[in-house]
Amino acid sequence: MREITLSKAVNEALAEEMRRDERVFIMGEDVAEAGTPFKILSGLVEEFGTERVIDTPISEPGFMGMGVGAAMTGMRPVVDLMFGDFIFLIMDQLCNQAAKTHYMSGGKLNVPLVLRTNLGATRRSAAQHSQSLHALVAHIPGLKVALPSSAYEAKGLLKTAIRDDNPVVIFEDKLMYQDSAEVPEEEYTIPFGVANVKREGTDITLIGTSSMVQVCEAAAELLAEQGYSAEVIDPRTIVPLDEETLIRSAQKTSRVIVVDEGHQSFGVTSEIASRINEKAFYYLDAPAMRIGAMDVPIPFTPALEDLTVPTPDLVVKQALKLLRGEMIDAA
Amino acid sequence: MPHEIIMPALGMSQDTGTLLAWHKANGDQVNAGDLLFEVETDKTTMEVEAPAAGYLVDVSALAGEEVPVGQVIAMINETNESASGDLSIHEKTDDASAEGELPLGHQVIMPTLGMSQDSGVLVNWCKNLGDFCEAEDVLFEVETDKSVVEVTANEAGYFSARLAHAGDDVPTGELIAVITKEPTNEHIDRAYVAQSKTISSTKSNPSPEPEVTKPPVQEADKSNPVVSQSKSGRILASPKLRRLAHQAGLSLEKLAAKGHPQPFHAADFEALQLANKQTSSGTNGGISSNHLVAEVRGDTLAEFLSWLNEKHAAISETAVLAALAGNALKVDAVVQVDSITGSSNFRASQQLSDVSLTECEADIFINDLRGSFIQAAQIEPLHRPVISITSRNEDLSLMLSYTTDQMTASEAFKLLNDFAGRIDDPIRHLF
Repeated sequence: MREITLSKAVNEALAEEMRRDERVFIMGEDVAEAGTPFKILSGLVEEFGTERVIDTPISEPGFMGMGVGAAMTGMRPVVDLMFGDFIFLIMDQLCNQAAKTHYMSGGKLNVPLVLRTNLGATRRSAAQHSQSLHALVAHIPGLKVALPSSAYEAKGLLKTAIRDDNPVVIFEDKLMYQDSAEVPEEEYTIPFGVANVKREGTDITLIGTSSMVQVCEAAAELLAEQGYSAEVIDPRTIVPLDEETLIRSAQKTSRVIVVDEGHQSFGVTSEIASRINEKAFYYLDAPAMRIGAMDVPIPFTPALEDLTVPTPDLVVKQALKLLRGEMIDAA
Repeated sequence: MPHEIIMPALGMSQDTGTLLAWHKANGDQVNAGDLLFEVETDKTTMEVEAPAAGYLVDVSALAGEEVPVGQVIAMINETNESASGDLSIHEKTDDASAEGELPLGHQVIMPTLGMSQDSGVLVNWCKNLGDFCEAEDVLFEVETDKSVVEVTANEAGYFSARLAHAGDDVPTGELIAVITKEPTNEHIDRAYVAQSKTISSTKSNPSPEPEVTKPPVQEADKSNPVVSQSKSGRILASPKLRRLAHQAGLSLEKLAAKGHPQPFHAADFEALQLANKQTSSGTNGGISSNHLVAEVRGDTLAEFLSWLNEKHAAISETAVLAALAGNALKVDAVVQVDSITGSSNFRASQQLSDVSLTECEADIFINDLRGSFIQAAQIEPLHRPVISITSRNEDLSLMLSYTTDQMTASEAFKLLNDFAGRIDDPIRHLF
């Protein structure tokens, strides 16, 4: 099977969907000729023209509002938010308008909008361009949240998002745009709410989102060297969340670590660990643990920035504590 | 700091000494090593020297007086004034654990057992506090340089105060017990505490920290740096193990009582099962397991079984064993026979042909190890008594394992003897 980069996978998904449905269009900063600073969208404006690949002014609230309006009136916009950190600028448009319109209109209005943005630190982009804020939007009823972990997921999830009549926020990991994976040439989509068990194991479950899936896989390899069998699961979408797969795994292994690049406190890891606590309690031989980014603004200096994100070593260290039956104290 | 001058310990059996003569007078200045007084013992006259320099004051015994061993008869003070107040060893209450005054009575001291010895380790008490002792009863044992010596009470009465614990190293002459004529309501029980003013402890070990009677200590936990018991007494265990324990009807307390390191996890389930199965004698109501062994000839049984195999092949060996054992136990007993081939439950019957397989729970287990290399099998009788049959050459060895709550000793003797008798002569007991 061919391998393509995540960047190319996203490009293909958009191109295919735009060919499939003429209501689909792209809007955002520097999306047209520039193809975004990450050069993902190169070639699209050439194929579909400036009416369907629209460069907006540098005003996130402005163009997000326009996107919501377009979606409410029959279009299917894919809004490109250049850095996930800018989501703060569009919270009202996203969480008060897009998320609630279908409900508040008694079902009369849909907002089939896709917000394409990114997350991920260690790019040396400092505190305001490195955040992973998916927990914020996952908290809002009415929004779906997808977290592709590779080129394969990126294409499949994006297509599903575009075809979904609900507002979907899809976060790509900005560090992964040049990473390749096997992607079929044939058309495929990945359903929401279905987790992917990437590696089967019996001793401990590692649940990772986005690039943390690779972190968990690396940790699993290290644990295997020490004789432990780790199961690695990629939930793919956190809203909706495939609880059943996660719980079943927890019941099987009796130990769970959730790894996510959002800050550890009040985030995705807490939510997933909490559900496991509720629904797999009697099967747990150890508390479900969380590993997130440190609760600090992401540093600019590389040495410090690298310390704040979850790494395979951190995961292994925590895993060994659980596997050895050590007494787990809250820090 | 004032030094007490006491009537020294004079010998194992002696508890008073006659002060023959003072060589210094009250108020005299003395140097360390100066001769203070002479004492008459059973055998000889002993000279007592001053332990320190100072002034001899507070002389309270006169020449010719008979003074109990250990009693303070003078002080050596820095000045020639009376050393203030207290501190006869016997009257002073122990500051460490101020438990009240000592009863009046015969005072028992740590005896001098050898010329060069100035302390002895109290190995153990041979009487309990409150016991009545005759004068010639051994009261305690002391370890000397050379051996362990038994020390008699020397006075009949009630052992009412104990001022040293087994293991304490007590300087000679120190008071370690009081024997009273009448039994006392309360007993004094303390570990030995060296008095800071005691002369005799110059060479012996520096005084230990005041000890309190130790509460029974739970087995310490080794490897894991883990609390063996949380502060609230709650047993720490993972939810998974708690569920497994609950489903199996096992008690976590039993595992905790063994000092197994907490928190418990699923991996500790086997240890939990073991802890619940072990019936340890003495700690839980006296349930203990006992084992009896009987030896019996094996040839008669072998003959019978081979004859049976010819004539009545349908009846299996295990059925026969079940019948023999079951009938020895009681009417219609259900016997589970475990052998290499497997396990079967039989309901026994007087008529061998009536012995049948059954699903019912067994009253007794038989481990048929005949023909195997196993020589002896002592099996924990978890739920039911177990009889293990092993063979050596022609003979059979039968070991009955039972707990005292499954049957009495005489029932066990009868059962095993009966079973052995039936094996010895199978034909008579069946058909």
